[in-house]
Amino acid sequence: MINYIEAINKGHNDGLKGNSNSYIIGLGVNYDNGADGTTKGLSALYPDKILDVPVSESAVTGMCVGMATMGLNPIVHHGRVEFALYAMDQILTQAAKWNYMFGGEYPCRFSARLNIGRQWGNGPQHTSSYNSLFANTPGLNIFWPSRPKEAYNFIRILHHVRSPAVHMEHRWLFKTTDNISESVEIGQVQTAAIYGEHTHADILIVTYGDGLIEALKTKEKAADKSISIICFTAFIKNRVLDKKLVDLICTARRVIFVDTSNYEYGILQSILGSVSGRNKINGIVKVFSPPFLPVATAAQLVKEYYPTSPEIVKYLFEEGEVNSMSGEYTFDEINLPPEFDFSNHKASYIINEELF
Amino acid sequence: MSTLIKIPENQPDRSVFSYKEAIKKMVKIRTAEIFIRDSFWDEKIFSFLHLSIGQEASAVGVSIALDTKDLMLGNHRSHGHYLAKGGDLSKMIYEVFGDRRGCCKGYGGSMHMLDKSAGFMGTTPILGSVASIGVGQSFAYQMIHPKSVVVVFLGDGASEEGTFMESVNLAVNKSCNIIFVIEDNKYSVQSNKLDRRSKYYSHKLLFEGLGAMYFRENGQDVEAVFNATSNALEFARKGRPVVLHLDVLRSHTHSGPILETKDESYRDKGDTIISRELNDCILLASNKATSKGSSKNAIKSWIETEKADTLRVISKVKSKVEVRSFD
Repeated sequence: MINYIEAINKGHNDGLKGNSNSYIIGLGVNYDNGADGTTKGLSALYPDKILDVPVSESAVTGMCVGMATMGLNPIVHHGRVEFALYAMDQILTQAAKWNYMFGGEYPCRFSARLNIGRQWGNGPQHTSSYNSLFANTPGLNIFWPSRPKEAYNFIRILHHVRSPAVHMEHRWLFKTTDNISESVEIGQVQTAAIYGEHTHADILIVTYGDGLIEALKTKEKAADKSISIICFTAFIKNRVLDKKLVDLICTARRVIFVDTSNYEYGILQSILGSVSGRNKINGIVKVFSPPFLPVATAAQLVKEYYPTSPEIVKYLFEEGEVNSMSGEYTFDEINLPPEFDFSNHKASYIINEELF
Repeated sequence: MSTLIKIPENQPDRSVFSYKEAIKKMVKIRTAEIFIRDSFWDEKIFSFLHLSIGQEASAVGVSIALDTKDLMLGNHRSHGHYLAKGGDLSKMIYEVFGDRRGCCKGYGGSMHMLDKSAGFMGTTPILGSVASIGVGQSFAYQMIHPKSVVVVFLGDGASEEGTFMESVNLAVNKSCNIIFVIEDNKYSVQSNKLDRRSKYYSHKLLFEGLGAMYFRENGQDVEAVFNATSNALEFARKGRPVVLHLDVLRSHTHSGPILETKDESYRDKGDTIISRELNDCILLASNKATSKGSSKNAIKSWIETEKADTLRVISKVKSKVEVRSFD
């Protein structure tokens, strides 16, 4: 059993072992507790592959793009997505378009690890996700590992990609634990996890990233109901949704979207639009998401911001779907990263093999 | 496991300057660009265009100082860099026309030149972006060619970008074999650098302060550019990045197939059409070649032969062009 940080670390260790042309580059990644511990100890094992750099997000990311166009597999780490905004030219305009604009025989094996989302006290400028910036850019592959075993698998993939990838890491998940013994082949990308019945759901929760914990807690609370969860974990290449997922969304009696980032024009609203634009959704749709505001810093305001399982259960109670409500979250549950154990939560995955 | 890009080593290294070679290369570039310029509207090229007509000496002087194994990256105005480094002329013309036989199969156009077989690693027109990409390519390339250099061309506007300052620092920090060539035509589109900078501004202090070597030269004088590049290579091949600042003259508008035919108000007082014609790099090179013993007839013959050869290639390409569509 290992936590999310350890899973990333192990993914890197295995990735570096598997590709001697791969690098990890970023501020302090070679330090004892580098990149929040995710690169801890790697510098001792691979001293030439773990590179500290100046505080120059744009140039450092561009350097990685340059390396990636020469056949290397650099992984740049940005400790907050807000810092990576300095590097957006390199990610969106250079890396994502490189192979296409040069005619298709000039791969850019670039990847970026970006920390996103909530953490206590981080306030308006350290908690964004900007998912749709990346999702709306052709040429980028995006990973949102929602549990440690997915993080382990995706990190290993970053060491081998042939087209640019962005690894979106919800810091809220860093203390969650999991069993990573069921690793998948490098070429098999898990694009979505389905928890529960995967051909038809009475109640369906659609989420991604750290929304999964709230979805699983809700599923547990309403154990007597047929609740399934779709947790999106990666957008590969052309963003076409798997038919199985579309069918699940269209046929459920009630579809609940749980987004811990701003919903408006974000990932889940896009998915809803993509599905409803081409299909008829039969059930009632309900959205749980933050208000369309930045995150405030004060703990009490944070409580009002993120969607929680008790809030979702309350809705289901009011709709007559469950018999009782959940207790409200404590201060710690609202503000401290959960030590949630995923190991007993089995998922079936939609696998995409087009990445390589 | 991924495989590092390897560049063919099928040509001899260059170290001796020859006016014949320099003039022929400059004529080749000019002939190609004049053809593109004059065909632009009639042939509906519509690939966003930036011409280097009149300032070919910087691309050529740098290129002929390099070894074949050295790499080059360019910016929005890079037809000249591409051809000077040995990029395929036919593929360039096909690319500008949007034909699938182009160097980027028609996906890139005028602002995206690429010929890896010549060590020309691409051009990217977003201000200053190319600098750090060059740092990364240099970092990677040094592993297999520890003495080879990456040359990155950018303009005086891009040299003001924060990411360029970052890139020079990073290059020095990682001991990259790299030369950043600033082609300084004084104008970013039409913004005069006198309006963009304070009177205290100093490239020399900036880049030497970051630990790079800094040299400045007249970019219209092809032999001077060659010598400055050769000097820069002495440092760059040993992992000391160089900023080579070349003053050049832009005869056309920033973009589009338009030769300026009157003295525009955005230009400096001394920067007139007459002064640019007198400082045309092919004219300067021809005069210097004459003063060093080449006959005027010989020089005329180099120019006419090269022009005819270039037009022959272009004419063949033009007769076959098919603007591509999606597959």
